[in-house]
Amino acid sequence: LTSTGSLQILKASPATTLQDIGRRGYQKLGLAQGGAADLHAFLWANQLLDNRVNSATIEVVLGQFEARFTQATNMSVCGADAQLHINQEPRPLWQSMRVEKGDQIRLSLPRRGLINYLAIEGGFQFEPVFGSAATVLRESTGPFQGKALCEGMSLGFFQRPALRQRSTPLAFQPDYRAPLRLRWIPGQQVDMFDSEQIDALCQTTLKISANSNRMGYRLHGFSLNALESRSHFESEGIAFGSIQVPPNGEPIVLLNDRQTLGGYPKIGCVASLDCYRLSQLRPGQEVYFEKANIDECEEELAEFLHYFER
Amino acid sequence: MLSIERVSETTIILRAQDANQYGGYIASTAAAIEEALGEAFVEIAPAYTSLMLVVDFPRLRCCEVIEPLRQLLQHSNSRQQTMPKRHRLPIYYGSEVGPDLDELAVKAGISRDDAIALHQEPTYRVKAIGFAPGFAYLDGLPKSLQQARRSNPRTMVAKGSLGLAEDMSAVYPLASPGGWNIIGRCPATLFDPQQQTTELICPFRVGDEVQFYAVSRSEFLELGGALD
Repeated sequence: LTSTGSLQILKASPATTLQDIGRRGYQKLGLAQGGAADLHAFLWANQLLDNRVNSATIEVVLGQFEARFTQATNMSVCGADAQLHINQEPRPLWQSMRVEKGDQIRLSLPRRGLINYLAIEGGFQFEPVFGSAATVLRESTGPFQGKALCEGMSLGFFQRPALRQRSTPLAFQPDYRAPLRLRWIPGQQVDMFDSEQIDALCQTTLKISANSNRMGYRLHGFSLNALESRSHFESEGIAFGSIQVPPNGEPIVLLNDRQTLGGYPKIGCVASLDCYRLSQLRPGQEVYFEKANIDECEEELAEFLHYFER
Repeated sequence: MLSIERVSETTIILRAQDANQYGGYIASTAAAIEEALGEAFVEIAPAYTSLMLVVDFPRLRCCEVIEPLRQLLQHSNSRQQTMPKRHRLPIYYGSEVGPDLDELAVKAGISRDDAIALHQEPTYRVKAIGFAPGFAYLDGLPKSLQQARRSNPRTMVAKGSLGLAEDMSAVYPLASPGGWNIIGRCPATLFDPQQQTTELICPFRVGDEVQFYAVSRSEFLELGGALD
């Protein structure tokens, strides 16, 4: 791969990785989907630069990121409310901007939200692994031997002329502090649970457990007990957003880095758009389930994705 | 016949109604869907009694593929199941590479040579691929060799390790943490991310048959096996 410039990483938090929209077609071999956890912020970061939807970006978790550009290009940062500085000067998020050769950028620890996407015009260069830039740390799958980005690494890109500045309308910049409604698409093994208990679950405010990550978000505050403990429930494929109920009864919403197979009962799925938001939430933040119609969720997701298609 | 459930905006799960319809049936259905409707899906992921499909969304919607899917399932129902692929895997059985072999034999109340012979008797079936890339769960372990997982999982199990847990056998395709009882090691490469096609990356498919045969330490090394 030839590239004219590079982003030299000076500092990165341990879970900072290269991501795209994820791996396709390899779940049958046991490989996780991976990909940008908050697809909303990811797609906006690329959109502001007129990038292809699937351009590789840096997923910065909990800020504390510093890097230097060896050539001029255009970039954008979307997501959590980390403070962005270019050469000590504060700059806005959710906006495309020019960076010059030698410029140094810094992202601070955010107060709201967890994740930022740093995109560059044309995307970062990478050697695809199973057809994708997605990094799954648990599997050591992805560019850079599936490892997190750290000090000393550099990511190639092509130098670009200045671009017209664009920004994401305020209405599409989420407030990650607000309690999050998780639209619940009932199904799968929901019949293994008492319907009154399920109703009660929907009346309860749950809290994000500290034990949450790109694999899944565990929720505290309500315990579901299966009516029958089926001695032999065959493992099956796990859809994105599946709400799995392990023996301790606390639901887990399974996200991008989820295992491909699971044998715990599931009460349905969380709407994808809400999963993207969920991935920005921190331990202790509040969520609640609301029963949803699958056709409405499908329509809304299609509308959202069509907006970014190009 | 398989039931069809839309589980999310993009995902459909097909499940066998009849407990006897597994393995080969799911595998041949997956192949039939791949052939006739492959373009419609970005994932066709079989488990032992079910098949997960992810539609190429938003280019296509689930409702557009459900009818063609239903028709295909009706026809493939009467169709002859494809013959499962058969794999023969060499194993160097022994405590040098199988630290749990002796304890397993003691618990089974048989000699260690009998345990090794017994493990080679069945034709195993690939029940599912998951847990880790290329990790194939093999059904068919003889009753007397069945043991719970180790209560204290190892932080690192060597690549190629042959493990037993409950009624399953598996060969760890890559080094990883693991709690299975390790009784030997396979010198063959069972997961190769450098390859270009899925068939070469991982040889196993759900429904395939696997047989094990014992090799000596020197044969194991000749076949490319590595000791610690």
